Amino acid sequence: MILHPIEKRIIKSLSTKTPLKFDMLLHKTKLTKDQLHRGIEWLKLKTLVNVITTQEIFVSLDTNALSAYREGLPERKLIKLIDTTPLDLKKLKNILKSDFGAAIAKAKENNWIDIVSGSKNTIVNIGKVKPPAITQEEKLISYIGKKTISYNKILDTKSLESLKKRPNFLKYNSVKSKSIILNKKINLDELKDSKQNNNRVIDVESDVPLFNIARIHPLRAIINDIRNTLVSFGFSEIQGTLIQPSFWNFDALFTPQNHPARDMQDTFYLDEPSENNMATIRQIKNISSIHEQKWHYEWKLSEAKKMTLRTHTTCITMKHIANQKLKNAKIFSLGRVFRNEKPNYKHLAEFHQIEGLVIGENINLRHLMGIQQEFCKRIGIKKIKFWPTFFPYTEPSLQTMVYNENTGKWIELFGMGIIRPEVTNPLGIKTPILAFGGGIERLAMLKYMIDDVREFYINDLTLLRNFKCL
Amino acid sequence: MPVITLNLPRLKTLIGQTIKTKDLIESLTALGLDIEEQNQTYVKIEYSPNRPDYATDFGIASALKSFLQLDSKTYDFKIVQSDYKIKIDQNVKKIRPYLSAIVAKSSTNLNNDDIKQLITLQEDLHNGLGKKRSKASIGLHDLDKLSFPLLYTTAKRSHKFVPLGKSSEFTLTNILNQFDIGEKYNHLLPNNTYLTIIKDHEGKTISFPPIINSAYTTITNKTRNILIEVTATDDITANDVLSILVSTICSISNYKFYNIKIGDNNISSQFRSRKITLDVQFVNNILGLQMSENQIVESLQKNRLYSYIQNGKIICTIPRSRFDILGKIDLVEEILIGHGLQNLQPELPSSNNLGNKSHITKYLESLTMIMIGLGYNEVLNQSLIDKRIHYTLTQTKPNNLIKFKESLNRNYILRNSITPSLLYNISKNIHNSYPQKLFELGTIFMKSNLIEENINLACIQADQSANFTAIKSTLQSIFKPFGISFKTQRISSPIFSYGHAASIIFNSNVIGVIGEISKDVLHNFKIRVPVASFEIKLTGLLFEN
Repeated sequence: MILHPIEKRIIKSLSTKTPLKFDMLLHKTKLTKDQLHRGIEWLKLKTLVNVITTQEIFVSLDTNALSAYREGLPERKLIKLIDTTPLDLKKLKNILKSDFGAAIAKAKENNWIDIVSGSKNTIVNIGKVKPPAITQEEKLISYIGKKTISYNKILDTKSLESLKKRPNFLKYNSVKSKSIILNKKINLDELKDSKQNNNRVIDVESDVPLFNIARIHPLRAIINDIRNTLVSFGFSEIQGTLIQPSFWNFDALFTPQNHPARDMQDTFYLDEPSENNMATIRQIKNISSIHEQKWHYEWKLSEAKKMTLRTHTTCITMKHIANQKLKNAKIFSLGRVFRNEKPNYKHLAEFHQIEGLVIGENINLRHLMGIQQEFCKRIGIKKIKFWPTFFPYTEPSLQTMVYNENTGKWIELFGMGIIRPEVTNPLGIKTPILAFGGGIERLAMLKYMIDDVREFYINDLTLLRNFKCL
Repeated sequence: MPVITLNLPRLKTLIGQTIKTKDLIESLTALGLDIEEQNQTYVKIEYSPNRPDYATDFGIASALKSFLQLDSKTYDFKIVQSDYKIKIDQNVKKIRPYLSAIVAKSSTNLNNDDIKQLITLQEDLHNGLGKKRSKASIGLHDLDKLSFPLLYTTAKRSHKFVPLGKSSEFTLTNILNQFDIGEKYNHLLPNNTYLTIIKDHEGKTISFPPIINSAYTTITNKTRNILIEVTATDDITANDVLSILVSTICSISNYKFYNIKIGDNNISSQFRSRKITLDVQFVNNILGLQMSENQIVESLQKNRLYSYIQNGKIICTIPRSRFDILGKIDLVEEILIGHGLQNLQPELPSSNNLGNKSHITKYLESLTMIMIGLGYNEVLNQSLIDKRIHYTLTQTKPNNLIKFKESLNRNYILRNSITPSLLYNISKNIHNSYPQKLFELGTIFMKSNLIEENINLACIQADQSANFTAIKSTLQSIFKPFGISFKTQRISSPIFSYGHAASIIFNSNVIGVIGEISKDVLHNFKIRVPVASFEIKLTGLLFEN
């Protein structure tokens, strides 16, 4: 066992027989209050000492008793006045003032005085009982004096009780105090052996205070993991602006202009001018004609020009493939997307999405499933399955369902599919494109076991400093 | 996505074969339906809006029966010729020009459950394909209560009839102004004196589209034969809607359909099926399979798509109600569902693509590591921020606000700096221990001619030692490894303390601000410790967009 010098000093001053009060220990060890507190805590953890908390009541004299201490009790004052000659009651009242009532009452009770009522006046005389030189009560008052005395030290409880009945005579105060006692005998000399060289030996086993650490945001940890995984798969990152014309966000992705997803209650539209060169004339012409041909409505350029906060990142990646004329590539985009929704515990109006595209001559749906399965495995999702589903710009469309161990339910994580020919053909793309994507917050909720998505954006330092490493 | 609640015992009765609930659920998901909720007696499923035929349990039972190969009837039903006629008055052209209708006859009455399902479907079609009745609306009528030929015409707003659910007559004006349904859809009608109605041969009004039908042709559990009419703004939508109704009624019981001559056109001509020719190789290339012609045909039949092989190609018949099938690729999905996703083995593609992070990401990662090294915690805030936090609490005047056409919460704006969010974070962390040092790397939006998006770095320090020198040391230290140093020049700004604020200058351009947050702003955020911060534009400094 290794003891700190503070601990040793405390042990030296203690015994196993009688508890020692904290103040006494402070005096004996000559430690500072803080050192002593700490030392006792350490010794407590090592179960070397016991700390006994006791409550003690202290008694001191209040204002009236203090004046009695100086000048005598009211009844004593009265006796002194009539000791030689009896006096008139009214005269006494003038002399004794506020003490008068108590003096008459107490002296009469003890039969120290005799009151004789005449026709003209009332006279106070010495009574049958001769007052003792000092009463028990007077002894107690002079014993307490100006000091504060522990209730337990006062033996004459009878006088204490009678003084207590007098107004403003006694003050009671209760104080909690700590006493410390050794649990077992410790021979400090035996411990000296552990001292080697000149280095003081320290306790290497005790708990220590922790630091606040600086870290990346928990969502960033997931984002970085996903990005690194995709890069290791041969995907390259594409970035683009958050504000996009409807043309790339919707029209180029074969979403008809009357589609409910384009309603204002689903998408944020900006009341701001649109870009002049949002797309080539050929791209606009081709896309307008595929819409009119397949969806049977009159396509409007003005609708396509409306600026939106992008609702997905496919607007970035598809435009990139079209403009760079890529034929064999793997690209991804990772960023914020927006939906005009009232945020609740499940949904936010602004959140992160990952989206990947694979373009190549000989790729098929099984490859998409393969990439997805391996991707999920590498980001730590073991149990997945594929379900068919519907997305407006992919066909066939699938979704990855992951098993939530906490709730025992399958939840939808990523969507995927082959980009529709109605999207690729008008952009002059002849090679098939596989696409997959999903929300990052949803994955993060699963991984950190957080059930309110808004928690990620409160940025409470308790979470930011302490979240689990994945 | 629309949702439908299926009663399991009823669904099993409709399928007409004993099936375990577990197998039933599995088949539902194999069809591409999402299970939302499930218990002993019901299952709640989500179906995609391009399949309105899934809006009733009839439609779902029919899909299941075919998928489980219990029957292979197609929806390519016959329409019997007849003398039914609907005349179209030219006046309707300006209001709701198209009407499509068909007669369905049965030997049994509708029961209450059937009617409930039909009403559900009607509502779903009104909201979905009908775009809240603006494009199309439906009327279902008891055929035996009315007399042909019908007339689709217009009537004055003072025209009276007994609407659905009432026992006395009301004028069109009354209906539009006093009925909930009238108020809800009033905006779909023009401000004309005359509005559209459908009358029968005896002159009785049977419908006031797109608002309400009449009481006297209402379908009940005594109804046997039905007239289905759809009024719409275009004929394709009208027939899309009608075809879904017909295919659903088809699966209720043995209905026979009768042609109606509408104006000069026969409705039967609108119900012809299409044929799509599929190349086997095309299907196998997409799915990565080696399916035979017969396997493909069988998979299509499982979705009630009648197919056959001709000269090595597959000819598939698409009934009118499957207008969601736009082309060959949609048939591949039908084949996939029929064949079963579990029969596709995931496989990694061979590839020679080399992955790379974007150059912006690389810079941001380097900066992040430096910030963590300096003891700053990363935070993430939303670009959409409460106007009060962004401007009022920072005592900054809004300028060049980016306008939204409409948003759910009008108080939200797109941020043009990150610092207000960081101050808000500090104010939400007063219960946590100090020092608190936060940074964020994020996009901000500036309005110039067009909207400019920049990536900014903002840092904030909150504790007793926070002051101008400390935060300036942080700023200069961060950028030293990039070989960048800044000049700072005194400014006065409402967010910073007087005399403790500067602009950050690089190559004689102002690219940021730095300073001690003013007492008033700290008071607004209820922060009780000194705070210093800086924010700097990285776009153009470290990288271009």
